[in-house]
Amino acid sequence: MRQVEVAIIGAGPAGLAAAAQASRHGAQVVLIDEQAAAGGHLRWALAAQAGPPDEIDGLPGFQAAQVLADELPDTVELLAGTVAWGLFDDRVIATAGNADADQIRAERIILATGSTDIVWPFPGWTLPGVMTARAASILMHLHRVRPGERALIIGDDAQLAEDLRMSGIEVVARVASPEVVVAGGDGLLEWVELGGERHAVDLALFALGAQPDPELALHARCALVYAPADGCHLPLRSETLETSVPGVYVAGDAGGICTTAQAIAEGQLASEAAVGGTSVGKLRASLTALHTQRQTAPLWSTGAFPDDLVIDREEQITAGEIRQAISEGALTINDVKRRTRAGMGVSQGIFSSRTIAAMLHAQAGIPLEELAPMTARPPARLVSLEHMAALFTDVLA
Amino acid sequence: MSPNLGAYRIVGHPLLPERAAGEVVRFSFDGRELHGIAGEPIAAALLAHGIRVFRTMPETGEPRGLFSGVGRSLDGLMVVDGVPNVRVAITPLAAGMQVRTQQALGSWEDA
Repeated sequence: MRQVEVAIIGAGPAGLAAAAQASRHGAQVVLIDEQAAAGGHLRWALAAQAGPPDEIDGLPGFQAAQVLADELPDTVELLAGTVAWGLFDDRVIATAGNADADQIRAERIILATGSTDIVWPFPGWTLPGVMTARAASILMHLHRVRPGERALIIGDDAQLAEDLRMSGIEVVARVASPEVVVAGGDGLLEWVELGGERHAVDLALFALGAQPDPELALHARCALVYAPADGCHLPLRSETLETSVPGVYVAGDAGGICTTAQAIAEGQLASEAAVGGTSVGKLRASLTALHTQRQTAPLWSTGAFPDDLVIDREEQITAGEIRQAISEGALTINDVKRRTRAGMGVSQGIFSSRTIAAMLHAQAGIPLEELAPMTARPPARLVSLEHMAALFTDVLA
Repeated sequence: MSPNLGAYRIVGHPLLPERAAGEVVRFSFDGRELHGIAGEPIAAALLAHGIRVFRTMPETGEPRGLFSGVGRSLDGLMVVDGVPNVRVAITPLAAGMQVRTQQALGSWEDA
């Protein structure tokens, strides 16, 4: 097992800013990211970014990502292509790279794990060709591949429409809500029906916004609080972004969807506090100055879900099975999980918890504020037994 | 004749800079010989050729393709060089890789 002073998970804007800040204080920093390079979601974004810092102001996301990655001090050890799949007691992180596994014990941990895209079930949503806007953006902008030729955009996202056109993909239709979509095709997405009208498409993209992805904070069993703007529970954080677990901080989208400038400010503040720097008050004020008012997250209807509609893609659990579990007395997301297996797969309900919460809310009348996420357990990602076993060589030796 | 990297490649994007030409490598998909670019995710190499079904699901046999794009869903699991459950959205393509559609939970095959 390795020992480090500061471990940062996620090399997006928040993680990069946190790494630079800690490094300025001379701290030994390890920065871990599952992706092949640093920059986070900015790497595949074309939208113009707003500073501070001034050096990214007005730049398209992919250029801002490059600027931030280039500013990373040489003293920071960047582990790209490395999955942090578990956060254990005493701030021990389990990692797996392409070739090796490791354990890192850190004095301070900053979780800057970003977000995933919000999805919502509709008939046909498991067909190949239905994917997140993020998946399409990565293909188009990082790899220069068109995931289809004729697209439906689900969500109010003008930037995505422009991005698709620039990549030569026709935007056939845009709908604001997933509730009106029915899709079909023979083994592949071939059409969507919107208000009774059928359109030929081979791509349907979820552009409903992002949801925070603080899964490792849940491993640490930190206290949670409902966040209306994100429509889910998030780690409770102090003025310095520390969770209820001492030494574990959350910064950036993982703690609540925010702007790039806010993510950078959060990374700097959490890092300054983590290393005991003297500029905490100043950085806190800078973050507060960037505050923006956010609306309550939309909650779409679940009442019209056909009973055979798949809600949990991985375990293939249907709306009918979840309704039955609720009618038999399930009162929490964990109850539904135990009774139906929804969320028991490796992705741990990341694409179904929001829907299950909405179904519990609609059918059993439970306030969303009371619907805590399902228990998260390692591994947070698919990891081979070989990688897990490697962690015990110290013990066996 | 230059190798066919697939009909879905974007050439001449109006905003993104031209990229350095990557190393073209051969790989196979369900026994079919194809070309891709070394280091790009296997998923990108497949989608460039219009290949959208990556696996089928247990019990239902339902086809699935790329969904999260970041290795977060399990819709993008394939058998690569005999190893099942490889996340093709984040696994780089390498020369000579043998990629197969994963049936259900997959099985270990001769590499």
